[in-house]
Amino acid sequence: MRVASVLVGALLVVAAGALMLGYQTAPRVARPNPIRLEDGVPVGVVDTPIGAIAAAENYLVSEDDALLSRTEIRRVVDTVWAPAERDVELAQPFPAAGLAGKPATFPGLQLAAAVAGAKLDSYTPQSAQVVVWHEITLWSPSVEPTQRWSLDTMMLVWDEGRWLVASRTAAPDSQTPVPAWTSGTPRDSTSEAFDTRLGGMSAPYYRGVTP
Amino acid sequence: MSVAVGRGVPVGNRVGHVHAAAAVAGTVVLLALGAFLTGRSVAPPPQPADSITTIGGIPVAVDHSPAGALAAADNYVAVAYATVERNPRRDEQLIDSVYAPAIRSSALGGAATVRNQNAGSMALWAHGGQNLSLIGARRLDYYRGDQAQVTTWNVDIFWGPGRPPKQAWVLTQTSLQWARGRWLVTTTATLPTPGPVPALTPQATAADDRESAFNRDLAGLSAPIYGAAG
Repeated sequence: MRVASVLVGALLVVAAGALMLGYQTAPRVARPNPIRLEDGVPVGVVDTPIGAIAAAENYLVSEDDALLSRTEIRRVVDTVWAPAERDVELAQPFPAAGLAGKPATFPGLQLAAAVAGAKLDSYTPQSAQVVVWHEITLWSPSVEPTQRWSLDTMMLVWDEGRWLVASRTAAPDSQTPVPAWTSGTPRDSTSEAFDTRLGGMSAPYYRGVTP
Repeated sequence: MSVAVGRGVPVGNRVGHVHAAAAVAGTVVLLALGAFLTGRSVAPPPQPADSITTIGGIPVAVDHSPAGALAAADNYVAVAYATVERNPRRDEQLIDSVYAPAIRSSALGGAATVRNQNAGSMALWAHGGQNLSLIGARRLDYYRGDQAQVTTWNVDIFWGPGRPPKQAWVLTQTSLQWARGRWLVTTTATLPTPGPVPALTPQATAADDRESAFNRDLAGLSAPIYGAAG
């Protein structure tokens, strides 16, 4: 009886050890991609400082890019925001409304969004704070291409293998750098120029900042 | 005359013990193998590899796919515009790392020409000018396995002493070739027509004409590296 108990105990130890060994030696990638697409939305899945910056950059541009569609913005917010904060974010006014008193939507409105720079304010394996300077360009047949710049501070929390947005705060216009002087001629600033020359283009994905 | 075998254990019993030991050993091996494979199967699936690696601080695109080609052009174009005037050493590093050997010499010569023809810009950098280059959008014109072409809408934002912050938008066309485990530039050209320029900036104020506002509000920010979603 005692021998049988010892034998069973030894077998359990062997099984547990082998289970752990199998788990630990499962194939892994030395340099994992910090971004994974989920339902078409880029999600930050690497818990490192650079992974947090990549998450913030992609989350801001994804949300900017989705601003023209209530369905799209909800999909992005549902994917990358912490559940408790989603309703708050979805209640935000449409940023284009801030453009020279124009209404929130226009027929044929198009949009391009991009990150210009970012920095990591703080990082722990559980949370991170990232500052992102980004811009949105809007145009339509009746709206001359117009930029809006934002300097946002984004708080992220690490939850079940991904970064989630816990909060996003935009600096007031008076503290948001706007490069007001632009190159080109009036011909380059027309909606036609945008439609013609940017046809088929899409926004890039981001993976951190230049070291 | 009989010969004693072992220590008085009947032969039948010894064979039985050997069989029992073999059965236990077999059970242990099977159990361990099963547990090991179970451990493998419950481990999270491996994440996709990164499409970009950095060599000497230069982002190098190492994903042989359409998304990898786009990430290559995004990074190479952004770094080229950011460094060609302001940081010639880093521009040379870029050319050495990701330009096809056949065009490196001409690319270095072209970069030197750009610097020689833009004395005003070079003075800006010499006096502490700052810049950030970014990609607004891009399009994969074609992808043919080892070759690809990308058109990029990109901007360089620069400011410094005596120069209000300015945006210079262009369209850039980049041809790429897959060789030696990375995407290499085979041709790059700024298209003759300027990029579409979003010239209206209604939120701008007089403060935005001052470099001090940019230096203060953008302190510590770095240009993004571009990637591909896994």
